[in-house]
Amino acid sequence: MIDTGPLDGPSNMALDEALLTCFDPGNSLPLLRIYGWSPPAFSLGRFQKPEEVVDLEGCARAGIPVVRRVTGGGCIFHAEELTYSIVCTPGQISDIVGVKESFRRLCGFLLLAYRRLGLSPAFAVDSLDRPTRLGERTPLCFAGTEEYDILVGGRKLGGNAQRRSRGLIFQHGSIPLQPALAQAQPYLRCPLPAGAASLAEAGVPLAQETLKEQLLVSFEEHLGISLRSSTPGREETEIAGQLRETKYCNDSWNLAGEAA
Amino acid sequence: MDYYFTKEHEWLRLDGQSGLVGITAYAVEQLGDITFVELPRPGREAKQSEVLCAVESVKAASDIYAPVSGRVLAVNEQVESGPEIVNQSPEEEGWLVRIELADPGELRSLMNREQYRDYLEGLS
Repeated sequence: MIDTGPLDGPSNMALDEALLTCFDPGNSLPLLRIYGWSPPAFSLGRFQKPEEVVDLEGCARAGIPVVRRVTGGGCIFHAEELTYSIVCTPGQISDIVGVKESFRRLCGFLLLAYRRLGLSPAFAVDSLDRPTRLGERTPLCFAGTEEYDILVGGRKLGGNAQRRSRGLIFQHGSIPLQPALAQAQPYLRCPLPAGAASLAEAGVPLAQETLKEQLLVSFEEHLGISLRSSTPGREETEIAGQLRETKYCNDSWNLAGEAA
Repeated sequence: MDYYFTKEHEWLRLDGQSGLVGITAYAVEQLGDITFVELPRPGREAKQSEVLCAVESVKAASDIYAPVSGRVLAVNEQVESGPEIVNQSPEEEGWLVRIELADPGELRSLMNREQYRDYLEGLS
């Protein structure tokens, strides 16, 4: 378990990619990273066209970074939230290879954490008050609902996305503590999702540290493992530094999606 | 037509000096509904086992690897506008790329259909 605290958008995405790049399927332990975002930033899905989603000039004027993720899904405004990332092999999660089933398995710790907080969460596919259409591609992450997104009172809480590469599973996800979409609205080029919630809106206003503790305990219980605190290794730190400068601070990747 | 398969679940259908490349029915089943396909530019030189293109399904971005080295001759524009074709017909209409083989010797590292079937059985 690596807790890096809040970093800027390019540093966060660079470290996530470095952790995936350095993961050795034969030797590495499955990895959980917990982090935040400072300053607040937009992240785009791997294949999104930024001009269709955000006002890039407005973001630049306001000093809001826009970074592209290596994962799928839609745009997220990261402000008052806690973010996690996981790197593992399918063998480390009961040989689950399928994308949907791996989301169910890995997101289970979020369900458990939300239950511990007194909420009644459910996967969208299991929820009676789910939206009628699941799996639709939407510009904003929180506007679309996949089968294994988590709903609380019919509203989507957070969002999760994956990257599949070299047979590895990389997943990261966002857990909004406070409503932040109104802050993002002036910079968005698409309507705000009505069905998205934060923990505070669901009736659980929490400090980041309290949520972190709940997530870690729930992660251990859900997967039947013990987390060991760690820090990024030298190689991971070096690669993250290179990726930050050559990729995640560059328009060619962030805006055009062109890998260096 | 001769089909060749990779351990990463790509197929190559050889047709003279070039062949069509796509992903197998097993891969499609694991990926779920494909919502986006990113294809390489024609003319790009690909290397065996390196990333050739990518697909998005269920908020997962997945790399697709080149089964052989060679030059990309053409891409299937139909799947760019209609990615669901890959789900509906992964080994026919849902092909992704036509590639000109740089080294036919690389075919020896691929599986035939029977070997791929055995490989899949070993995975389950």
